[in-house]
Amino acid sequence: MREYDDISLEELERIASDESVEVPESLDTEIRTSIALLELQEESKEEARSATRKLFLYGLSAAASIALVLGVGLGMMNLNSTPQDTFADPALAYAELERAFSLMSDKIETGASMVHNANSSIIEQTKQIMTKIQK
Amino acid sequence: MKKALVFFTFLIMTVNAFAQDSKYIYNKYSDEKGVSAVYISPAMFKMIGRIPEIDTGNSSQDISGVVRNLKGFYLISTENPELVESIKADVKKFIGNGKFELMMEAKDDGMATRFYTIGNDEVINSFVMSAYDEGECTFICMDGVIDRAELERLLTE
Repeated sequence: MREYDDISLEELERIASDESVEVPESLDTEIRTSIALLELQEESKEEARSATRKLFLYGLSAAASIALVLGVGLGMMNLNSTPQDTFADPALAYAELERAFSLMSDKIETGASMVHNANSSIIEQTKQIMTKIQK
Repeated sequence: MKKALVFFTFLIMTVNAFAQDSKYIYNKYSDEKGVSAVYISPAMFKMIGRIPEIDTGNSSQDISGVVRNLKGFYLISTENPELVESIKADVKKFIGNGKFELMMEAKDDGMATRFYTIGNDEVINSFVMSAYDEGECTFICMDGVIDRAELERLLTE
């Protein structure tokens, strides 16, 4: 059989129109059946590839989720671990506590003085109003 | 897609449920640049309690009565403006767990100080101070069995 690459288009048309060559009756059916089989084979290959791809993606997602959960969990464990004492000497620790209490005391005193000033202001304003009323 | 969304929602809720407590806040910020951090453990408080006489020196406050009953002490202080906002948010979440009672709040010209407690009329089990003042932030948390009257006397002296 000659290679079809070597045959020109005109010669192919001449061969096709040559009615002396007998065409089997079932040729049409056989060609259609072959084409259908080829298409079916292509579809099943495509489905197999798709199933493999889906499985791969699910596996990848699961691995990523597990890594995320482990990462978050380890991070949380680290933030909830018991810290180390800042001072090794109890006397130093006590001195720091004194400083902290002094700070808290100052803050409370600031708040108390704000209340005192507000009260004084209210009392003063009330006195002025009473004076005006009495006049 | 819906299942993934539900999963990640639960994951985020779980993360938030790793409750923010004083230990969490201390661990998160104690190693940051520009942060002063102090932690005193229950073991250290026992050692302090064994000191026969605590020399208060020139201090006008004698805190030994309260200190001997403390079990834990956390202090975080910073002037880093980025950390101030972050600490403020974490402290708000910590306080927002519903167990703390606001004892006192003072606000004036950008300064805000709040004191919170957990306990009853006689005993305080947890005491928190959060103070914000012109770019500076201080968070103090003490746990223990603290006599309320004794603490109030100390703080108002």
